[in-house]
Amino acid sequence: MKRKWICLLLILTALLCLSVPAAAEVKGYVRFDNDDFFTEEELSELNNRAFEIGERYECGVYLVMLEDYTIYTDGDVRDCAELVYTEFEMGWGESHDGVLLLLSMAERDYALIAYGDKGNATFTDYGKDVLSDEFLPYFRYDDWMGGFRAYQEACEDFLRRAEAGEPVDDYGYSDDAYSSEPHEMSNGTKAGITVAGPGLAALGVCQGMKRKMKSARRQTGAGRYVSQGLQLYVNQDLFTHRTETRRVIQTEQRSHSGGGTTVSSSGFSGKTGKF
Amino acid sequence: MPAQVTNYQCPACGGPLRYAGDTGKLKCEYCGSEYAPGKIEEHYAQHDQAAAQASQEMQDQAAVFPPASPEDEVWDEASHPWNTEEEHLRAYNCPSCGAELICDETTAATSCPYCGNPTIVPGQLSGMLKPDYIIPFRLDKAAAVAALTEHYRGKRLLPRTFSDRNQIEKIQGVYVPFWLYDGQADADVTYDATRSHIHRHGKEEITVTEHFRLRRAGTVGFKRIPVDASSKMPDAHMDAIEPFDYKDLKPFSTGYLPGYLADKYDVSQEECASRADERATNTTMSAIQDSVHGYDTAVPVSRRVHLRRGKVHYALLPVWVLSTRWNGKNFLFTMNGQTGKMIGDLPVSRAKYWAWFAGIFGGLAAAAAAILWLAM
Repeated sequence: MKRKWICLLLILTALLCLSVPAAAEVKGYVRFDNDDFFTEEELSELNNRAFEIGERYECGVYLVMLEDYTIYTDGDVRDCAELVYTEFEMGWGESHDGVLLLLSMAERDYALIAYGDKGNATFTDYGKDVLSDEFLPYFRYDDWMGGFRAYQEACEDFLRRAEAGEPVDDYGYSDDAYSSEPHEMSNGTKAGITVAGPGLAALGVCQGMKRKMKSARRQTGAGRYVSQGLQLYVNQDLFTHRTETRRVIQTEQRSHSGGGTTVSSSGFSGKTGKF
Repeated sequence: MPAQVTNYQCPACGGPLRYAGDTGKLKCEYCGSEYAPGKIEEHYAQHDQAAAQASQEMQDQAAVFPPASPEDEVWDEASHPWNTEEEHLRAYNCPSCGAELICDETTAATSCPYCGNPTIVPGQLSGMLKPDYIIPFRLDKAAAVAALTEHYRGKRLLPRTFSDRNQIEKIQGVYVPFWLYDGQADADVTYDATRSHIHRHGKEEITVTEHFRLRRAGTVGFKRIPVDASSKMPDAHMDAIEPFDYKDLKPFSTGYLPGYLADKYDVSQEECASRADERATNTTMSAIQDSVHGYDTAVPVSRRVHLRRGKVHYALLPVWVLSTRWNGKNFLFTMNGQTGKMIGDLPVSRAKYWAWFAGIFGGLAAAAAAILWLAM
């Protein structure tokens, strides 16, 4: 408990001291504990853009960049993100709706969390996967601004879709371009399904009816005439050898079943990974 | 070759007797008297014996007089030989109306086509040719006609003219000769089998497969596998009307034959045995396969089946044979005369087939189009 308070104190001190709001009315949407990460112009650009998005959709879009999250918490990178979100009272309105991307540079960890009814409804489990795919390619080449811009653009698009009643969730969105329209089946595919499916079904039914017209068939077995069932006098099962095959589990593979957002008891939803 | 044929007649009035499946007795068509088949057979055996004795005495005395017309209504084989290129035909004279009756050499019971009197050719079913068992007819001609009508029901591709006209060209109750095979099948089968478990270790999915060599050897006993012994009857038709209920198997008596056609076998038990063997082998292999449990795969790598034949019984089993003609083609139907199971291939109306196809296709295609274009 004592360590936690010390950590909190450290993070508050560090972040409060180092964050540089670009304008008086702009909240601290971007926070960091090393001023080498951003130039003033970059910081201003990101904060202003985050402010615009938040004002328009009433949902905060935050960025936090740390040297090493383990300085601030005993938990994992997500615990750290939740701690920052809570302690800085992030989020929009009474329900503190918002989304936060936290990068920890030491081990190249990231956490993407959402909070509040709107935050969790907008950034679904599937949506977070799609969102990660937007910024991770930039971070992997250390293009921090490119990644942050992509994050903010994607967040705005997610919020726009959620407002239109179509949050980015599971089916209907391609993995590589979430912003595309839901998959539309081409007319050719539809015509193919319309002809082939019913055609095969009709053929199956008609062939079934045709089979019923033939009833004279030779018997192949003599099960009715068994007077003494099988009496086994040899029943051997010998183990000969064992083989083993290994397959690497594809962690990038996404499940497209179910949909929605998994919210923890703390009210946060989120995902973590490496960049 | 049979020397004579017998026309079972009512001891009370002399009318022809026919076997009635519903009562299990021989019934006189004229006075309605009923007799147990065994009684009539016994009665005629005595009669035959007396006739044979009288004939012997006459031969001993002179043997120059022409034989008197037999009082017991025994048919004589036609005096002239049936000498056509068809060596398999036999000719008899009907003792009731005098007409010449042409029969197949295997015919054991028939009816005169002119006066309709049921007739038996005892020589075909006596001595070495005598069947061990018979299952008497339980169902009559009306039941067979009704069963055929029922057979048409629910056949959506049946041409309407076929069922509407329903012209049965011929309907005949036939005692079909069958061989009933007893035996045992010994099988020894070896399998390569596998059982797999999948578990996860870190980022790897590991499949462990255990390999086994299995051996199963065992015996299955069979009793009375039926194989029809008549070349005239299609095997598929005779197989498909199985099973017969062997509880009704009775020791053979010619008393069950009047009113029905009966043939002696013309396919030997050796020739038929391969079909019984094949069926026994298949069932034994299936039973052995069922004894392999608890494996994901089991592939037989070697198998040996040894068949030990037991007794072979000769039996006559009741079959109603119905034939219809439609569009110049004959259609054969057979019904189990004991259980009523009716089988027979029916013609398919192409027009109905394609009409059904179009209807189902159209309905489903419309539904699919509505879902794909309107809902999606």
